[in-house]
Amino acid sequence: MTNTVDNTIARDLKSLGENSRRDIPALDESLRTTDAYRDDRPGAEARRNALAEDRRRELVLMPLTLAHVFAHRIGRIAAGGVAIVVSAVLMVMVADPLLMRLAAWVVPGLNVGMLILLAALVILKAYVIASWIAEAWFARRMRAAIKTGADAYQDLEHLAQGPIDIAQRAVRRLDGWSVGLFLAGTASITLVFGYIVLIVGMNHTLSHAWSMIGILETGALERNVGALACAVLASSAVAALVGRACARESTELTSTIPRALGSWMALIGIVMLYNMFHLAVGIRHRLPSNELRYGLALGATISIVIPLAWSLLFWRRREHARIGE
Amino acid sequence: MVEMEPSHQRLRRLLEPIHERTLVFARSVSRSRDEGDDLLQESLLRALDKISTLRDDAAFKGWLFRIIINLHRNRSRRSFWKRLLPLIGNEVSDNRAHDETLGSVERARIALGKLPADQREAIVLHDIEGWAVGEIADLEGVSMSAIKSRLSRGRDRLRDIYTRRFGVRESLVPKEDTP
Repeated sequence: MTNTVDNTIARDLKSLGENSRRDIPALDESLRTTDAYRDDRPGAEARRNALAEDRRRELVLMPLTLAHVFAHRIGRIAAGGVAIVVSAVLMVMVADPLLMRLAAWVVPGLNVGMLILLAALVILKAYVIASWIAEAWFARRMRAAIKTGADAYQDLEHLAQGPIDIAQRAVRRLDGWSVGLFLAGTASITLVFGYIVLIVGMNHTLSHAWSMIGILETGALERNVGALACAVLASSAVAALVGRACARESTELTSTIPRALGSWMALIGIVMLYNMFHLAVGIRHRLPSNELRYGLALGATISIVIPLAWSLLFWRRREHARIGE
Repeated sequence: MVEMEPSHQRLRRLLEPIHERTLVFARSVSRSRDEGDDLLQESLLRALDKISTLRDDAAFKGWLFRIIINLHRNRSRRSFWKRLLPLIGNEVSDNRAHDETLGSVERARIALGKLPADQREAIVLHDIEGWAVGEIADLEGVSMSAIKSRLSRGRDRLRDIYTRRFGVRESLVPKEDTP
């Protein structure tokens, strides 16, 4: 049993097929016209000139938002990549107290505040420089898209794609990377600094809250590095999954992961964040067992990754609305 | 020494068995028969230019359909920007879509024209040309589930267009699941 609408659609599609099959020209006729086009050099040049004019006008009218979104996405990719490198370096320093002592010797009075400031500066710088480079590259690519040469046929091929098509494709291609890498970078650096601040805060009074010298002697930092590595790896895996889903969504238009993370799933993250905060406060009075430490690391990952992913996906939806996707 | 076959002869030989199918496909995905003829013409021109890069004759059918699909998508994108920026193009107004007395061919063309290019191609290849899902997946270089999803979303959208725009009413009989 089918309904009326489906029947009508099937009938109409059948009629369309039959209509398309009517008056099929002979093969030679199709190919003769093809040969005629090939020899029509002045015609090709006229078509090239008209198309080039259209493309130039298209470029003039192209929304600036596309260039901005492209530059910001490149910036986010760079910042995410640098954040991952910085958190990896910090984890190595945490795992090996000798390296941390060496760093403290190179930078006298090294403390958590200085580390956070340095990391933020490096990441911000990467973001700004990458955005500048991306803007310059984008402008050059757009100029190349409307450039014409001596061969009219080659130009027609080249101009078949307009600057807006090229820009949209470039922006779309970065979608998954800009979400995945930025999410992985932000989550990793938050986890690593969150861990360092928690351990340093537990072992020091308020007046020495940011000092790291004493904590190195106790070996508290490197003792939990396994749990920390697990948390960072888990957050990176989730980020890779979200990034891949976003990249697929840009071609397939729907994907469950970005939709779920962008809506009610964020509530779970907020509740977890609240609970983790209470747990972290509780640890000051009673040290957790080894198993519980891994559980805490997993909880911290969820509580950081989900709200971050929600914010990023919210921003991504805004970008899509701005570039009209 | 093996003598090289000239490009146009090779194109003619390979095109002969699938000429009708390519033309039917080009006409069905386009907004009119003339536009379809023009699409195939441009595709053949490109095929003639690039046929030296085709190594395996057996792959010709997929290769030529991919050229048609790429050109069709380029044209669809171009017409989107022409609609958005009326200064550039001379797009015809689509007020006819609200007319309930349209012929079935015109109605199908208008409804298919409202779908995204990938869904339109999947529906034409599957429902008009009779290709299997696997064949379309191979042609487009995507998974079978992606093609099934395109077909399902395209059909949903067609139902919506037929109900809202053409005033075709749903019957009370329950709908059968489509494969």
